[in-house]
Amino acid sequence: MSVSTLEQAPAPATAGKSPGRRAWIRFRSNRIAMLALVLLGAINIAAVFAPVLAPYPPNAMSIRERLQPPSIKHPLGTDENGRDMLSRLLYGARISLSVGLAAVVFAVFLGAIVGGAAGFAGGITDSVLMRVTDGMLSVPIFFFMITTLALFGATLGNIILVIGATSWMSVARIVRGEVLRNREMPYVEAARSLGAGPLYILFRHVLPQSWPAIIVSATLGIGWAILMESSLSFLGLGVQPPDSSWGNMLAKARGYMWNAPLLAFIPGFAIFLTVLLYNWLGDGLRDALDPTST
Amino acid sequence: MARYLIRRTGEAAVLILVVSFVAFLLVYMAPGGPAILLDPNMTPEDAALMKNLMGLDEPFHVQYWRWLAAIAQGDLGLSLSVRLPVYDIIRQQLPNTMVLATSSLVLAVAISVPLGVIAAAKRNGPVDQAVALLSSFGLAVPAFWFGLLLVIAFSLKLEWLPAGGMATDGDGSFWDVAKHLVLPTLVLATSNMAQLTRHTRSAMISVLRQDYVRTARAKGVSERLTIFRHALRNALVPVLSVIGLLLPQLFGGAAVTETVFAWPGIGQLAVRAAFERDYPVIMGVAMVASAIVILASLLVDLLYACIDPRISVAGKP
Repeated sequence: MSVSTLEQAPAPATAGKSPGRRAWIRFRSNRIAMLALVLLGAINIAAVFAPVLAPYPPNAMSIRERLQPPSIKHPLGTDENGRDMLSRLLYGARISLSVGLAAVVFAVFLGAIVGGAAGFAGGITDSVLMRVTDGMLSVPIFFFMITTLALFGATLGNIILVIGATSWMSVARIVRGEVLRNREMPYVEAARSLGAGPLYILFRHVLPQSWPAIIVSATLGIGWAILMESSLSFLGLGVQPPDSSWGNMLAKARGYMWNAPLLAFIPGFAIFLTVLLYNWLGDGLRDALDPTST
Repeated sequence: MARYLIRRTGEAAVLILVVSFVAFLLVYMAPGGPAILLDPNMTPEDAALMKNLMGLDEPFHVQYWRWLAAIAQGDLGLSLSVRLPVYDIIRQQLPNTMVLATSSLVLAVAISVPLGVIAAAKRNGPVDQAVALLSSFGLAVPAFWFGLLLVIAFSLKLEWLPAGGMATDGDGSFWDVAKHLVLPTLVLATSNMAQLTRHTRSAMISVLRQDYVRTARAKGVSERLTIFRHALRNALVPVLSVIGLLLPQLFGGAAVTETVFAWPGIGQLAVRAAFERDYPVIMGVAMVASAIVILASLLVDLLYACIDPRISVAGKP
């Protein structure tokens, strides 16, 4: 061992780097999280370019070709109306993924408002809002989701609203905690003395600090939202035909379980894989952004 | 302790009241209103008459109060599709859901607690990683898809277990029902199992870091005894509170699982009622399911406070 290697040895790989850069270095070394990131990138790109990638229009029927096994012409076979499964799967991805994303964006927005209001107002407002947050987690909310969609109609907008309105709680807790931690900080006081309102302070000063925790929660939330959408669509209270989502494709395939089990397997596997990858990505982000939590 | 008990019970009562308000508000705000649901072809005059007869033209608070007073007496109204009291329908189907939910919870606890303990004891080893992988699968798998795969494998191909229903026609024996129960229990338990395993593991890991565990090890207590006698007891306390948090998912998940397996419980009832827009049944199921879950969580919390006296002193669970 020479003297020069001894001198170089102690410098850690992350010294002198920005927090974002350090997080990226930690994230990169997590093989499962990287795999999830790459595969999710591919899945999302495939969904965006579905019109280019899909070999057939998603609703093009061909009765003579119904329930066909995979072939060169139809790589994943055809469904009960002779529609190409690969094309439907790609178009279904557009709906399932965008509903999941939109629901989470709505949930983050709601959570930021509720958590911010609770943190800034304090006192009775805080305890009421936090009781509501706890309450949302302690009732079987799924019954209210199906009730709402049955009564108000299962449009895409309503599905997004219902899923978003039932999954903001963890973000609200994160934001509230962050507000409480920062409320009395000198820089917030400075902003306030310069005339900044609570909303400005929330969005300009507090939320940027909560981003790491919010991003983790939102990433895990996308997986949850996709699961919810597919469950609702499976029950027939979600995305309605002729639109294809992974959940309603599976619901239709139920009737052909014996003749064509692949028809039920493929969309379910797509949901499973996507949700799994989002959860892995979320876990990886948590480890990278906040190495102290377990 | 007494103060904690009173406060926690009061909170549960308020929550049930809020839930009833939300359930009523949803139906009240629904486009067209409940009267239109009876017959979409009704003339406006008939509809107005109908609304008058049903008391639907009265102000919101009068209607809500009347509905609430009726519920308090066990009157959940009449089903619109089968013309039977909602109370009777729910009473008939609720035990089936309770059987399914209980067996799933028992299965989840029986599998998750040992798995979580082993994973924590062998932290970062191959067993821990396998458990982590399995539980991430369990969290991501859509219940309805998992259910269909099990039906294809065990009912259609292997013909070991029935694909759905609760009993074979003309047979209602214990073993027959038990056979019908296996697949739905497994499906409903999966996601809970995954979450419970993760919580047990992390609770166990934090207990194993405690001083008294180090003391036990230092004085030469065997690893097995340390884990099962000293650590597990204390790790089980937070695990109990997680079970309380899993109850809402257990009942909500029953809607999907019961539909997949045609299990005649209140979950399936709610889904069918949603399709038929049978709003008294929907409201009834939502209310009953919420009340059961809230009361069960209350019980878990009180039990939790009995086991861990720090809770009632600190005041916040």
